[in-house]
Formats: sequence, C-alpha cells, structure tokens
Amino acid sequence: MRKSLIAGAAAGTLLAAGLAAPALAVEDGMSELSVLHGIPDTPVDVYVNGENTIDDFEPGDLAGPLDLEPGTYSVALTAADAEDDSEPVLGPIDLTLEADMSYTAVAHLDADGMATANLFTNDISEAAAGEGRLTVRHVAAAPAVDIWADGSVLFENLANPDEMMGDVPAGTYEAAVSLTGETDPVLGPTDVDVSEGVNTIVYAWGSAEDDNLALAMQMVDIHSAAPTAVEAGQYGFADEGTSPLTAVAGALALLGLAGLGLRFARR
Amino acid sequence: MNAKPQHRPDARSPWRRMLGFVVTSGLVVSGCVAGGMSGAGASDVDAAPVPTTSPSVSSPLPAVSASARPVVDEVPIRSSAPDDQEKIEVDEPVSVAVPSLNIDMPVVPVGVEPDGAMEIPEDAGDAGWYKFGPAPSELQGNAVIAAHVDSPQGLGPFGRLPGVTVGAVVTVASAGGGSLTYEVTDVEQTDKNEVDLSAVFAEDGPAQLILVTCGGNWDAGRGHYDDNVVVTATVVDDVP
Repeated sequence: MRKSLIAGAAAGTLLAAGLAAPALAVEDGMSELSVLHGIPDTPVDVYVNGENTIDDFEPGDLAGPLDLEPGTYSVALTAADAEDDSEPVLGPIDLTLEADMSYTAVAHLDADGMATANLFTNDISEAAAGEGRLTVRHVAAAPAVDIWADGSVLFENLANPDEMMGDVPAGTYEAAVSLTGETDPVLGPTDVDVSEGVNTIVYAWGSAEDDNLALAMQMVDIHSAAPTAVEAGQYGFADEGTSPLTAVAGALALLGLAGLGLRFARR
Repeated sequence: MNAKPQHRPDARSPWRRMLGFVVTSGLVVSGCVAGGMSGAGASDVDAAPVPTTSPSVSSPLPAVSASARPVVDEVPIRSSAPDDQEKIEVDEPVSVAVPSLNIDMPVVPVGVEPDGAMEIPEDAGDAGWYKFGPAPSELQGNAVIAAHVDSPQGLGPFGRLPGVTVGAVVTVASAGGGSLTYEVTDVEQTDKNEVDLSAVFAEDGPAQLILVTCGGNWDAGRGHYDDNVVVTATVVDDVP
C-alpha cells in the first residue's frame, strides 16, 4: 500500500518499478582498461597496435582507465628510448577485451624474476550496502605469501600471478604481507582504505631478491547496493491506529484520490 | 568516498582520438627534424613529454597541422603507491531543519546494520546521514537523512514529517560551515515492501535531500512500522 501525502500528486515515484537502470561501473558497451607497470627499474614505452601510446611509462605507475571499443589489441613494451616497437622487451601480446568489463593489464616479474604480462579482469559486480571489495594480486618475484588485515590472515598462500578477493565492510585496514606460513611482514603494515562501492586492488610487485618489493594500489569503481531497509521507528507511538496522524494522513489521502479522479475524468 | 566514474562526456572513442594524437605528434616530430635540427636536438624532441593540453602552449615544436584535430587527452597516469592515493574528504552534514515543522536536529553519519538496513541513531532527536551515499555538499544524487519516528518518550521530530507541505523549506548545515536550502517537492508514504530503496538512495541525478522515517500501522510483532515516509526536497540555494 502506498499513497502520496500530497493532494493530487502522483504517488509512486519511489516505488519499486523495475525501471531504474542499474548504475554501470563501465560505460555501456565499452571495455575499461588500466595498465600497471610492475617491472622495477625499467621505464618503457607501451605500443598498442603499433602506436606508442604510453610514453616513458615509469615502474609503479598506473595508466588509465581508458574506455575502449571491445576487441583485440596488440600490446608491446619497448625500452623508453626505442624508435619503434620492432625490438620489444615484452610482447607483443594480444589482449582481448569484452564489452562491459574492466581489466588491468600488468607488466610484471614472474616468480623467477622474468618479465611477463597478465591481463586481470576486475570484478565490478555490485557489492552489498556498506561494503567494498578488496582484491590482492601477487605480481612480484617472490614466493607465495599470506595477506594480513588487522592482524589476522585474510588471504592465504597467494602465489604469482594469482589473485584473491573478497567483499569487506568499508573501512581502513592495516594490511601486511608475509611469506606463507610466516608472521614477519615482508611488506607493510600499511593502511589500506576500502571504500564502499569501490574495488580496491592491492598488488605486491618488485623482486624479493633485489629487495625492491612494493605495494601498488588501484581503485575501480563498482557499485554498492542500497540498504535493504530503513526501519526508523521502534515504539509504536506513530501507529496510525492510535495517532492523530491518522486523520491527517487519511484526509490527505482522500484529497490525493480526488486529484487522481479528476485526472482520469479529463481523459 | 563516492568517487564517481570519471567518464568524460565525449569519451565515446578516446581510443581513436588517442591514436589520432599519436599520429599527429609523429608528424610534429618529423617536421621538427626536417626543420634542420641537429641530431642531438632531434633526440631531445623524441624524449620530450607529450603535450597535454592545447597546441598554443609554448613549445619548441613548430605548430604543424596539430590544430586540424583537437588535441587528445593524454592517457591519465598516476602513481600506484599507497601513500600517493588521494583521500576524498566529504563536507558532512551536521544539522537539518524544517522551520515550518519546528524541526531542527543534529545529524550524525551512519552506515548499515549487520542485516543490511540503514543504521538509525537510537535517539529520535538525532538524525542519521547515510555516509555511503552522497553528502548534501556534493550537490549530486540523493543525500539521505533518516530518524526514528519515535523514542520511549513519544514521537520524535520526524514524527511531524507527514505534515510537511510541498514548497516547505528545509535547510542542511555542514561541518565546513556551509548551508544548503531545499524545497520540498514530494511527500510519500509507502509500504516498506514496495519502496524502491535504490531510487531513494540514488547516487546519480540531481542534488536532492531525502528525509526518511516510519509511518503507517505499527506491527508490534515485528517491532516495526509498515510504511516508510519519504520526503523529497530539491536544492534551491547554495549559501556558502
């Protein structure tokens, strides 16, 4: 049952009508691509389909997001002073991007320290009200690790080039990375803000052997649901059966019906 | 929070424009080399940062035909280091007033209960602003402020909400000292099973203030009222 409390007003603008389009985290029909440079000490140029698209891309930097037409793109990395992409240091590799998806292409080291690249798909599905998503990706030349949040293990035994994720209440978490089964952090602890409606992606990159392990962060807008209810009464004092509100609301409802009747009569 | 997707209105084909730019800058570099610069100079040009805005920015490059095509936005690049991430500060609402109903209440930020319902301040004399949605100061989307209709002492200020009239003035003061003035455009009482909370909590669209409380029949068994009273107001003035 619903009614407008305004005489003659069309009630129901806030009714569940199934017409409201869900908020889109990615532009409709497009693909969203970000690029993370996770190879230490190696500035590069990024060639996409043969064109120098990201010039002098520095390690630790994140490019994008770019809204791209879905399709397959050929990506090659060259030394930053290369004339063209004829002698890539990595690639060319084909990245196939589908519509309405979010991706991060990461140039990084594999577990043995060799340069490689991976295309990760960012989960942009809706989160629950009050929650954000935390994704962790191991793209470092390092053994498998445990990810800690606020002093306890959140993700266990994450290996290069894998990812783990989960939805958590929005807030600030003290994050740390240890080797699997150990407690001493090899990275962190550092504060990580997980915002509501955001997929916060944390990367461990660099090389344990070269002592340049680091964390990288990327925020991808997703969408969180509205609260499931607004329960804003607790004692029954406003019960329409016992409250003077009844008369007021009833009168207003009658006026509203009269207004509706008038509109129908004019048709 | 509430970083909105940064979609440019003209972002339909950034890729094409980006490639176009690459082609254009290639022409510029070629022209420069043909202009008789030394080998060292040419390599400087090769290493020069990509121009970011318009061709009119002072530059060692001759203005070739770059103006034939709008210069493209550079691929946005930022540091991924945790310490370099921007914190988004929101100017939070601290009070809400409806003078015609003699309502003037403090507002506190609230989130969600474990069951997913919006958190509501225990005291019906306090209103809660849904901190995971837009703030009034953001001037976009629905800022939702809710309060219990009653407390052990009886009806709270929001118990008077159903009597609000269209055009009534609502003001919201924020922590930063600003004040926003709204006019009521709609008052509805809707069964909680039917109310579209995704519309109530819409994050996009015009800047509206949504005041929510409860109404209708008291369901003593559930300990809840059957209806939500939802007052919609649109911003009419921005008094800094």
